[in-house]
Amino acid sequence: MTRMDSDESFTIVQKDIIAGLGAAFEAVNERDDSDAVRVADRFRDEEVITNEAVTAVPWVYRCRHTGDFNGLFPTGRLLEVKGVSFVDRRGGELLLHRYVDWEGVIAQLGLSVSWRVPVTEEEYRRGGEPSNPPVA
Amino acid sequence: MPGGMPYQLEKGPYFSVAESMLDFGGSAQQRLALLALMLAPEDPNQLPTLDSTTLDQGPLNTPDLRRDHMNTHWFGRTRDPASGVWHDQAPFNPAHPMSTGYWRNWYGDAGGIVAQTFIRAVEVSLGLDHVSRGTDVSKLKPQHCWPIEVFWRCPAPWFEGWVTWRRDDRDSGHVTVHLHTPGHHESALLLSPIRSAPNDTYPDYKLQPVHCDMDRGQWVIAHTHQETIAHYEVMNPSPPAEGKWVLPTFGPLYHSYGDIITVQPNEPDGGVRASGRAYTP
Repeated sequence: MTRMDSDESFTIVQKDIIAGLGAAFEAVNERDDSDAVRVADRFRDEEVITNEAVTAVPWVYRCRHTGDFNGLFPTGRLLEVKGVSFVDRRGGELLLHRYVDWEGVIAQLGLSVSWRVPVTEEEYRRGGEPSNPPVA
Repeated sequence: MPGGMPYQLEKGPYFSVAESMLDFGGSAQQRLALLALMLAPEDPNQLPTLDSTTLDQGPLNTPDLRRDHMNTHWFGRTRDPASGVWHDQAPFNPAHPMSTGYWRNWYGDAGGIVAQTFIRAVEVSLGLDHVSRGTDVSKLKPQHCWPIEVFWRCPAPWFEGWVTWRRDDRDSGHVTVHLHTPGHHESALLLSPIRSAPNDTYPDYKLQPVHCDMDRGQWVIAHTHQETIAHYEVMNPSPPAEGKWVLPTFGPLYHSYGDIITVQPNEPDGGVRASGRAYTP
């Protein structure tokens, strides 16, 4: 049995996360960057999830928001980015497919949702625009 | 307050009546008496405005319905069905965070903010330094009695009241109140300021208004159309460790296009009537 964090795919994903997110989210670790990325706790002791061609790596990246993330004010906040990367060896070139819990990142950064949905007039009426005739 | 709010800024019937009530025909003494009432209200529900009969033809056609709306939706209060007494919302619980009233994603003392905003606005309108509770208001000497204008802006990330004023050379002037609130339950924004029938047939609605000879007015200037452009990409397959991640965008990009037009919203949609709306107790 190969534990997930001992598999080569995890090492590939670790480096990919630091390379892809490190500019916006600085890795947080007392020792070195690699430990900032870990296998998600619920899967840490599991055997690697793979069919040989594609390997799934659920991960957590502990980091600090210090750099440019789509123009947001750099908050300096500590956060955990969670996701799953699929290491795809089916073709000639190794590819990574990254599914990231961006909603979790947005929530941790405190970005707000307006709750006023922009709609067309037709949608507005269909959604139940109250009958507000002019008051005499 | 009740009903639709298709635009981002509103005055509408309720705040028009509030302005009329605050006017008191220019009587500083009456406004001073109101200040005393606001500083030490025996029952905030008895403060004037929502009792106005000029609001009875709207969707909330009795003072009680209007007060229920204000207390429940705006201030998050609950009414004891037996005694009829209004109780403040429960204290904030971080383990089970709840919004206040019908606001989305916000908890706080909306009633306290509204009360303090109007106290400050009345003080400024009368040229008075801030009055503390317990002051004998009847001994204060108003310096002037400026009109007060009220707007509601929605959505904002959290609830705020703003008071601004402007004095002119002859010591006349005016005070403007802004209430900035979070989005509210099931609210929406129209992507175009142009209304169609029947709303475009209501009094005071005008597309490209020309004249400004009314006593009051409220216009919005914008592109004819807005559309939302969603950037949505879950998967971004690429070779590893090249730093080519697709980072998400936060909500849609608004693309405004078409002619820049001016619209005068009708009063039910949050605009104002040319002569305002009287407070009639």
